Amino acid sequence: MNARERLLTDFARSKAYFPGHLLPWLTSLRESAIENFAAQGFPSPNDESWKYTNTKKLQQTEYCIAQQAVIPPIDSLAAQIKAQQLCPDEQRMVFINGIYHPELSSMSPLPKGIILSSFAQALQDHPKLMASTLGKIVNHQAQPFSALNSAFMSDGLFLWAAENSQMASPIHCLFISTTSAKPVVFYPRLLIVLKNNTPLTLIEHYIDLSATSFDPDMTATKQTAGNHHLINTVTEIHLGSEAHLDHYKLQQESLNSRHIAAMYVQQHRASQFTSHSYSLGAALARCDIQIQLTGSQAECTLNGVYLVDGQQHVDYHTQITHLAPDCSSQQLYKGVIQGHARAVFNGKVIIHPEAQQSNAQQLNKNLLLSDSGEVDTKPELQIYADDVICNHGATVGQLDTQALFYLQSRGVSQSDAQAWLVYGFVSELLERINNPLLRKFIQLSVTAQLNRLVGNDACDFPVLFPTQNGELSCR
Amino acid sequence: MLNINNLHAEIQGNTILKGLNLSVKAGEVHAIMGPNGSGKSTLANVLAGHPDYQVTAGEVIFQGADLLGFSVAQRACAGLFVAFQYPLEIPGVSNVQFLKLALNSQRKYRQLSELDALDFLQLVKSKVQEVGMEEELLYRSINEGFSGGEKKRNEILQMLVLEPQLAILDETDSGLDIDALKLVAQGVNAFRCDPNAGQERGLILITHYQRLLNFINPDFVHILFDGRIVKSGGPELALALEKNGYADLLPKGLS
Ligand SMILES: Nc1ncnc2c1ncn2[C@@H]1O[C@H](COP(=O)(O)OP(=O)(O)O)[C@@H](O)[C@H]1O
Ligand SMILES: [Mg+2]
Repeated sequence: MNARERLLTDFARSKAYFPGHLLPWLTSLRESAIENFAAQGFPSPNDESWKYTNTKKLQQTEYCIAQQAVIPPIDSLAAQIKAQQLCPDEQRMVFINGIYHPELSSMSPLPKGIILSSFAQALQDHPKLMASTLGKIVNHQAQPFSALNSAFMSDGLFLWAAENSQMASPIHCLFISTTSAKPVVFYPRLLIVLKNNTPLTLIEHYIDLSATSFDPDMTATKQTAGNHHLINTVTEIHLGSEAHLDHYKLQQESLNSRHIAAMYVQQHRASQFTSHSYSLGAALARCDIQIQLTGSQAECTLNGVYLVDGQQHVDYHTQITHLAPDCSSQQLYKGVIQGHARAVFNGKVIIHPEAQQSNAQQLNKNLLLSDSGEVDTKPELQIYADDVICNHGATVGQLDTQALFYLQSRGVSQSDAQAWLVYGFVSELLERINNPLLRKFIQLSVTAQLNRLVGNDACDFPVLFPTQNGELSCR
Repeated sequence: MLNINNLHAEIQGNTILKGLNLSVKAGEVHAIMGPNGSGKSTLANVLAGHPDYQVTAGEVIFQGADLLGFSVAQRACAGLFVAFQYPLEIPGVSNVQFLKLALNSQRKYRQLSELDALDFLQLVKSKVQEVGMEEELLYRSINEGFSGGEKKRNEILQMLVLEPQLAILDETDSGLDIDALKLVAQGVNAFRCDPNAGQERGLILITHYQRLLNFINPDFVHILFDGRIVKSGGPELALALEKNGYADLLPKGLS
């Protein structure tokens, strides 16, 4: 049996057990998704959008559905989870191997108009709300992994914010994978609907915990003995008029993980979507981000950082479709590539004829630290309107030897100088994180990974990196 | 403290320094003047260890050690400082954080305890005042968007914070207006005559203009031409130069 057949068999066998299997609309969504997958199969290297990312190994691994993963004792997890706290006031939802665990989560009473629930629970409590949105903007025809997610999704997040509702505390979705006897796959699904005029902050955070060794300083790229797991996650975001979502994604999994993610966003009039995406871990990380600007004056800003080493492979495919006038899209992705790692960036911007006065900016910058690393970066613009401002750029460079000399000429060692320059390369993206606590947490994750990339002793290195004036400031 | 003997150096296959000799003792101020392209900045860069330059012959002894055998950082830690003619802009690296890293790297090298954030900030702020720099510039990226004069002041700020034994200022005066020049010169003089310094500090001023030398009096003035020091004298040499240009001073047939 090949991977495709195996999945079809799995689906047939488990469909009676999926959450919400009694909901006819959901069953037909799953059925049509699995048919879409069956028709496509896994992407092949001939597929233009998978040209540089080979899924052969992933197909060869016999992943089973997550139930078989070993869940470590809850007590031992509590401290680990606490260490991942980003903000004291956060609503923290903890998922172990894709399944929501209320006893590990930390939720406070919600403001009026907000529904925040696990995906499985919401299928029981709010099936009507979900039926009206779930899967509506997900591309099943050309995204086989998304089709698989829609077929197999069993838990995740449901967030609904009614018109004019207010929620100041960020929502932190912590996805923890544990080791297991056999390779496992999880299909988290996040459905986010913000109605008119609602501002919100959401963090998707992916880490690994091994059931046997609880490493207090969990390092993103540490390879532990254990089996591979695959996360195939889909995030759907519907933004009503003047809704405003700050979306963070922090991917810090171990090299045991393969991470396939898709995010679909639909934006109505004057809505704002800001994405901060940090891809630090996983052996393979693929992110498809598809945004449709359907209402005028909608704005999206995508900020991305990827830091890869060894044999890591990271692939961002973004696609922004301007369908209405006066919208703006800004993309800045920066990557640092060390060792034999490989980075792929493909940024597509489509401007439809009716989308006059569009402003679309896209920039991808890469810093290649080794001779054996590789970067494939490609902007793609399809512009069918005449009154637009569009810019795109892509660079692949090395550390500036003049800058290295300058830093060293003040007594800074070569490895520190390298670390600081690399940090300087990505710091503008960190500065875009408005929440200072979040910025600090992400900054520490980033500097830990950078230290590893430049071979600096993570412990000795005075990681007192420039922030705004923050850290040092006594003024 | 510094002895340069028969120094030859090239960049991209072009020989720029062609047998340069210079000796600087502790406490002395030397001015190096010379037409554009004569190799003044090359000398500063070679001493700092810039990787684009190759030393093909000669030796440099600094405080009794073979300077050319040191890495770039070691030279700085050993007490050599160059204020560059064209200080680099380094986006993303905070000026103040870098200064702290540099100072603590040097202190570590000298087996001194590292300064904590508070002590460091206090130190830096007093030096910032000395050079008349906007404090706000501390919190920007290194030299990013600084005016020409601000960059020069920032170099001097680094010098005052790092307290080297020997400082080489490469055309620090150009780009400074007269008030700024006075302030910077005051700072440099204070640095030179610091009673707390273990040893008297040495100073090499690379300049085109007499006006800097009005504020910082040199003990010796040298004229660099075509990669060699062709004439040395006292302060009167700079005055003569100001009056008559290089034509009369250079060896016959060279000008
Ligand atoms: N990167 C370089 N490549 C080749 N030649 C250079 C380079 N930098 C400087 N030079 C040459 O070296 C010579 C000396 O330059 P420099 O030391 O900057 O002179 P000065 O500081 O005295 O004006 C000049 O002829 C200049 O053209
Ligand atoms: Mg010069």
